[in-house]
Amino acid sequence: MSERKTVPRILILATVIILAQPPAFADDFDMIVKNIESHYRAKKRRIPFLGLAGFFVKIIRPAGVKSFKLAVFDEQDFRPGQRDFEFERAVKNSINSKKWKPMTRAISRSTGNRAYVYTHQSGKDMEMLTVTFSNRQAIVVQAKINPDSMARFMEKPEILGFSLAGSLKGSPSIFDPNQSLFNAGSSVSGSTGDSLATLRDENSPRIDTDSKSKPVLKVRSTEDDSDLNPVHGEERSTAKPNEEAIRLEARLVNLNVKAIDSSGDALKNLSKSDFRVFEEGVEQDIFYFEPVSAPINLVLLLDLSGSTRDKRGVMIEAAKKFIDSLSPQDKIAVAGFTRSYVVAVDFTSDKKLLKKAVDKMKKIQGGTAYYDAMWATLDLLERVKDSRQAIVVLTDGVDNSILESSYEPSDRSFDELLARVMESDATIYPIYLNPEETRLKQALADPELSDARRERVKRKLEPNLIAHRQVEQLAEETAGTVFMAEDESDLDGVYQKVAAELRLIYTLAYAPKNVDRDGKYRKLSVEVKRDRARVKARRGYYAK
Amino acid sequence: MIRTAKYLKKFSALTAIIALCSPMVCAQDGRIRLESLAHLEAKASETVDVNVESPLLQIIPKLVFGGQSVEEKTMRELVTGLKGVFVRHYEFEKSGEFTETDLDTVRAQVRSWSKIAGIRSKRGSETVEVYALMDGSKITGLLILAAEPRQLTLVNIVGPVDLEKLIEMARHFGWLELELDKTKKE
Repeated sequence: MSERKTVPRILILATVIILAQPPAFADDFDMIVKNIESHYRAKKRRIPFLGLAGFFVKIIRPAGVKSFKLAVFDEQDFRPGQRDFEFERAVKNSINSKKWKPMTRAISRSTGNRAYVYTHQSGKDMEMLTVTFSNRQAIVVQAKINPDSMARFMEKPEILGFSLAGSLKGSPSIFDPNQSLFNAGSSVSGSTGDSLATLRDENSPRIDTDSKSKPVLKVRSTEDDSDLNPVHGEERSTAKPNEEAIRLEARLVNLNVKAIDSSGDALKNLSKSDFRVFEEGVEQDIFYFEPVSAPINLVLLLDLSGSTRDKRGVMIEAAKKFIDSLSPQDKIAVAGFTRSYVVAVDFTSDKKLLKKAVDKMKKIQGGTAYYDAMWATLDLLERVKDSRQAIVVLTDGVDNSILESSYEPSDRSFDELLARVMESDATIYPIYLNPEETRLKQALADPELSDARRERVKRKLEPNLIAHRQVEQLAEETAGTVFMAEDESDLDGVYQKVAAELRLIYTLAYAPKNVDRDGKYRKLSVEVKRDRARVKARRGYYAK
Repeated sequence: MIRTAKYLKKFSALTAIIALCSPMVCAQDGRIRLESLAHLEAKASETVDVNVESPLLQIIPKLVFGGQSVEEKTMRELVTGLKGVFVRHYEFEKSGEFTETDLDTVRAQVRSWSKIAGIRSKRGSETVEVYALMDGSKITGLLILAAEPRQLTLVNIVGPVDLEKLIEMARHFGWLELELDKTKKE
């Protein structure tokens, strides 16, 4: 066979192969966006003025960002599955591998979060192409960054609308030394001063109950392009020059919301457009929405004071059943308190581990620093980036502070706790177990009770009534519900009610149109666009 | 035609040799092939892959430590000359999702390396193995293999490694906080 014939054949074959290639994309960013659209049947959100924002970024270069591209797909189904493998394969086959080097790929099936980071050195600059998925959202960001400024970006990744440090909620960050993948565990030191110390989860953080932390509104940045929306341009004007000439950051107010119809049945299939949020009567734009099915971050806090010791066996079994009834994707931490506070298990979905920790609580007893324990639990939740947070606390609510002065009181007062709770994203569900209150009330109802005895009973009842009111107040302020357990035999049923209640919570977030951080209290109201629907949400927050 | 066939044969043989020797070639270069573990992804509840190659590696100290701190200097010295750091981390819902065979595919590539540490828990459920590729007295590649029943982590550092500085950094990040009371050195 002559070589003259072979060469044209090879050329023809090569041409056919080239022509048979999938259609070329404008660039790799475009390719990824198209692949998300095709593999997840998703539709990109139109971001108003994005082109204009890109133009300004090119000129002003905020935080060293020389150019960027952003695509957001939200409120669509991105749950992990076979599609991920197909998507990954398609991207791997199409991406310009000479240019983009895969730097990080992190996949969490338990939370549904996935992140892919590609990098490319372009002269002195660094280009990053990042794709992040959550169950309901996908974000693609391509940015060209000056490495010096990139350090600042790593410290404050929200400036680009996504977070490397926390993009996988609860997952370690490769750049955060405190949560490094290689970190053998947070250092835990000190003792709680009673047998409670034996419960401590060695991997859990030490919560300083003397923490002076002042909670601020959470920065929720991963989900939206609000930072680029000129509607909120006034927020940017407060930014420092040079470092944040364009402030690509929005402060969001998070709300956990329960909606019911006129007959009291929960409305479970609402979407973002069904809600209206008002701050001081001014309607706000909802930027972030999570449906009732989204996983929740929950702390189960158990009162292990001496008064609960006799009921402990039933308490433990009921708590274990409660853990079983939660969604497999929920992240749960178990904590207990007496005069001291301990995190028995840090946030995890491992139910076996959680139940094992609860089991260990059988023989613990001590005083009751309820306020301090709630304070420490709020500290624990501060580390959680996701705003879907709840505290389920089983207690009689009688803090040592309410009792005789001879008892060692909590370091925090109830008023301090209440103020903090009002600023927190967490919804509180107290399970109020106080058989003594019931017993004393029954005693008072006895018409034959002598006056002297009546006075004594009243004095005994008083702290219980205060505790009851306080427990209700905490629930009311956070849109939670108090669940009453007359005695320990009720606990099983009560826990099931709590578990059901947790599946009725929507999460919304908005960037306040009033950007002043004047520290003043802002009243909130939420409406659902359904006839005679009623909504339970937190009542307000302090704009700090 | 005969000549072409000869070339093809030679080319095929060469390709086969390269393919067969590639793990060895990679390992001698300090780079370990971790593709054999890719099948674990389907079973893992959490997967993390990190591939940081030079020159990105050179800006990591600045990213981690920011300004001109002592740590930044130490880390900069540590990464100078490094060709790459590669991490594979898998977490599983239940134990038994990966086997010794999986680990052996990795160990096979470092057969000629020096095993500088082997730590195994009393019950044998947790192991940490550290292998170094030596060039004289210098380390030019490092593999750390840490396995627990429901967790597997591999760290491969390619390039000249200053062990002293690495330990200093490890101490800084708390990587050395092993529960020594529960473990014994082999």
